[in-house]
Amino acid sequence: MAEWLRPIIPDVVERSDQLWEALVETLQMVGIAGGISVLLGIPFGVLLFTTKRGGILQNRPVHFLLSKFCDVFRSIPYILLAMLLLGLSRLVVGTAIGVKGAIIPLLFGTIPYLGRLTENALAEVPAGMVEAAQAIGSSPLEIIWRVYLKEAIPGIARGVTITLVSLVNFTTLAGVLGAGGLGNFAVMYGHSRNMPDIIVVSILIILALVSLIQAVGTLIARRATH
Amino acid sequence: MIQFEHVSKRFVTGAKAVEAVKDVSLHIPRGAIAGIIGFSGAGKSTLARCVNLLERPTSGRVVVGGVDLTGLGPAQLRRRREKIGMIFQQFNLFQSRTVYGNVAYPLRRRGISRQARAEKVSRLLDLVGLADKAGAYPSQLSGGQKQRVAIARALANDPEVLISDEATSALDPQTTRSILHLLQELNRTLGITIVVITHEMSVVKEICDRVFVMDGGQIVERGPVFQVFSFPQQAITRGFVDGTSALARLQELLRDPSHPLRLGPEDYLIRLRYLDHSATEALISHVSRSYGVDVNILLGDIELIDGKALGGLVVIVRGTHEQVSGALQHLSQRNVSAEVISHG
Repeated sequence: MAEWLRPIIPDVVERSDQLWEALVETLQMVGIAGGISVLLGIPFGVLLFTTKRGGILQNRPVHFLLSKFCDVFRSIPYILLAMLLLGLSRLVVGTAIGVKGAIIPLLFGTIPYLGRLTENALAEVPAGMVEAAQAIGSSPLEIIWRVYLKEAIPGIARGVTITLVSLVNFTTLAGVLGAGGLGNFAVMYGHSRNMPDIIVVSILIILALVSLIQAVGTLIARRATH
Repeated sequence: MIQFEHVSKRFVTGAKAVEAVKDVSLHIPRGAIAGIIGFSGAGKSTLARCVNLLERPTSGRVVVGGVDLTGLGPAQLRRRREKIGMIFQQFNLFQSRTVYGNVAYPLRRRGISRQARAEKVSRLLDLVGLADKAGAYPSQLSGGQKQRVAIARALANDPEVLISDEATSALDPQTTRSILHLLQELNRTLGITIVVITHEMSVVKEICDRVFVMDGGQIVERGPVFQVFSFPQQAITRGFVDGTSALARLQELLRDPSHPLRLGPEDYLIRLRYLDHSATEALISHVSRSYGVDVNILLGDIELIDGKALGGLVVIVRGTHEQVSGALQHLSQRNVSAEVISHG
């Protein structure tokens, strides 16, 4: 890292390699957990919405189970949830630490969240459009794919954005539990060894990451709104 | 084309049950334009939604094009629905799709090539007069244009039946007329059977050839539009009919206690209804000469319903009781119904 920064943020420059490593870990966690969250969370939200009473796939037992699952995992504070799931993580991916060990707890934090947000986004699609599709002869799957998901792109994009921002938050907490990343870096050096410049720089990097996610999300939502 | 046999629909919400449609049987022949009129809550929209089973009747049979829809499985029902187009008051276009995308939507499933699809869409857009709007999004269109897109979309699968559920209720009078004329044209050129749900008698008058009047979930009056307009049987039907003519407004004026129309001792205020061809004869001057009565015409109204003239006059006739009743008798022989509203 540039020498001219040394007087301003001496501890950061000193540990620039660790900082870089921490950033990569954070990006890995956000990327992998975020990707899987989108792939699973949106279908989860679709099921949550369509199995509801009056929904096109109305199924009250299924809806009840999904809904309870959602509520339970959304009400547990993430740090406790992560502790709770360390065992499951060890069972499924073989480890509870590092980036690999953090993914499963992170998914339990984000999927129910994105599920609810997707459910809300789909609820915004006017019932009349669905009715028109039914009158045209569309099947429930077709209506989900070609009406609900297509019309709800702006709402879902906003939901994904909020979820990814929370995910960044969760990764820093995961860091405290041994997952590495910027959270771990900031706690280990900034907090424990009293190096405030490390805390400030970690915050700035996270701020930049969140701003980027937010900007991309807003752009997609705006592009999809007609 | 459309046959309802003892169709009833109950909605149960909690402990309360509402019977929206009660034991309705009706038949609409192929190529007809049938109006279903009623106030909001009369059950007319529920009835219309039973045609394509968007609303499944609690009991009764719905037969469309010879197929009993109530007996079909979900997949077969969807196939039949392709042949029953529907347009709505709120248009219900897909906001995230262009005009082209909306009209192409129903064509996606069938194994037709992209090129054939494009040709079909442009033909449909030509038909509704929106060839230049293919790339626009619904939010960029006026209400009338949106309904035209909805019509093109409803026609994409070459339906045999088109249901119009209050399709003009959100439009201004001029746009309403142009949409109604488009429907009429489609009926003539494509032979498509049209069911028009409305609360406005003017819509029925404009394009329908038969009408069903609904009240409280039942059909209380039905028949050819001209007949229902000339001899409305039920009070509710008379209300709808009067609402569309200038004659009704005069009656309102007369009911006003401060009205400027003062009738003398020999004045009779009479409402005449011309049925059929009598509208073209010079009856008034003939009556005036032959019976020695003075006729003062307050208001005249004539309209074409289903291609036939239906007219009416409100007149003050001055003369003795014998003279006036002689004149009225003569008129009724000439197929003009006369109703004495009041006399001095």
